[in-house]
Amino acid sequence: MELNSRPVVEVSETDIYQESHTVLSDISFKIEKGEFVYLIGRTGSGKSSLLKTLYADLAFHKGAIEVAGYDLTKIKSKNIPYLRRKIGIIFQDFQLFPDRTVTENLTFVMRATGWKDRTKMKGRLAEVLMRVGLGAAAEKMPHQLSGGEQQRVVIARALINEPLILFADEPTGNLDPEVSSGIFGLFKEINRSGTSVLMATHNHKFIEDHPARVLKCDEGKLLDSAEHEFELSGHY
Amino acid sequence: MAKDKKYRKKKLGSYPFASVVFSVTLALFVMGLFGLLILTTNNLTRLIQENVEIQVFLHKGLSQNEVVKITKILSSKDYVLKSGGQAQIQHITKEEAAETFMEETGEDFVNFLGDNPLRDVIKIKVSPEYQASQNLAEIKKEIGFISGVFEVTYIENLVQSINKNVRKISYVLVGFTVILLIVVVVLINNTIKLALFSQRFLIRSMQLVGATSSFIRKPFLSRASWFGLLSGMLACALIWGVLQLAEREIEGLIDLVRMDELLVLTAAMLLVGLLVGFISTFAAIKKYMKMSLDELY
Repeated sequence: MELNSRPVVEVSETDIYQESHTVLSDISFKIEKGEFVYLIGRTGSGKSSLLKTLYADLAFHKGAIEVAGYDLTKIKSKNIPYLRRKIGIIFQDFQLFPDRTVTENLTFVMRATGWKDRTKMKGRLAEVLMRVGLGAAAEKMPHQLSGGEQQRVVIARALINEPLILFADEPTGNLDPEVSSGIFGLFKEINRSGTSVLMATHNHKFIEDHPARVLKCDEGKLLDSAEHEFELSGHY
Repeated sequence: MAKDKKYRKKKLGSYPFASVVFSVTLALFVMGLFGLLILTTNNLTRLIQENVEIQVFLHKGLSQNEVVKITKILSSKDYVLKSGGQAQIQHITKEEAAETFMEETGEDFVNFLGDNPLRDVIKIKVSPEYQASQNLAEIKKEIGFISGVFEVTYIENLVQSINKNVRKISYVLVGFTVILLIVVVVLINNTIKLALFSQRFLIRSMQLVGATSSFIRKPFLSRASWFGLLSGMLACALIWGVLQLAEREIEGLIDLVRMDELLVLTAAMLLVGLLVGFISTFAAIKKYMKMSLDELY
């Protein structure tokens, strides 16, 4: 119950590391339930490291981070899988099993995350596939799908456990503009149904067409459009 | 279709099947061969040691009772090899000895000399634990004090050289086996680590969707254990094959290998295959699970 009223992500006075050196220092921000937030910055400015820290893939040493009700300062490694079931992670290199159909890919994730009831699994599978617009591709193999469709499967996979927030790192990075805007539309739609989204992107057209709160990694600091005004454009 | 699906699902945690099984089988086979060598050497040594004898020559003109008494005294000694509860002692009369001698040489020396110069002799087989040179010397002295005993002899050099060589060979074989075991473990470990390299991104993906470590490990471990066991079985089959072949070439070889020991060797090979497969996979997966994405590339 308490979770509903609390921010999905809360970072306070934290340093973000990339291997041994600090890429962002003393950052603080919150993401509320149902919020859509862009994360921008030059390559190497710390966007990916920040996302990795949020899904407990990178350690941090200072400050406090809470994600989806889990206190990352104290989280034990055996609890990390349960944190990740509450969040959805999407990025370009995120592999599908190449030797399994879309359905098998998704049911595998369900079994991996503790689903047991076959009827419920079937229901949820149809639901997420419809949601990403791939109802007809259930029995196809990943290599039979286009890049955009594959990314939709990855999004469907991230949605299976009804995450509180989606962390997306350049989800449209290697897709053509038309397909990209389709994928982006899907994120907006997911967001409208109450899931928060934190999306790292270089695509300024999205921000222009669909303005929302922006976090910018800039020279070791994190600027927040909700608190300061700053120049969006720049060479990334 | 259902069968097809099942086949595909099985592929999770899979890696180049043939090459891994081949390498592991070969490594285990060489190890088994060494094990077999040690077993054969051990049994050969035992066979030789069981035939180490002390000959006790008796005074001439002893009565039957006196000979029986000496035999009884000797039978009760700890250093006499017991087989099936029976002390391995043999009394050869001077007549029997002369007969054997005549058979071997073809000369009737008793007739020629007009007397049998030989003596009654008692042959004692010595337990392996009393075969050290010092022990044998003490035994010789002790028997010498028994009344009615004329002389005690044994082939000193043979016993000494057997003992020395057995020790040397044992050290060398044990040393080789230890080295070989390490090589086998490292080889199997590397093969599995390399094979799992191709699966590292899938392991990563599973972690990111929230699969627990045990769920990720399970298919890999069950497959690796099965491969290890299969390799063990193949290696055992090869060893049995080699044994059959060798038996055809070297007569009596199979007598040097005891069935119970061979079964222990077989079980050990299966166990090494299984354990090394399991542990190497466990370690490799753990390594990949701890790696960050950058390290995986």
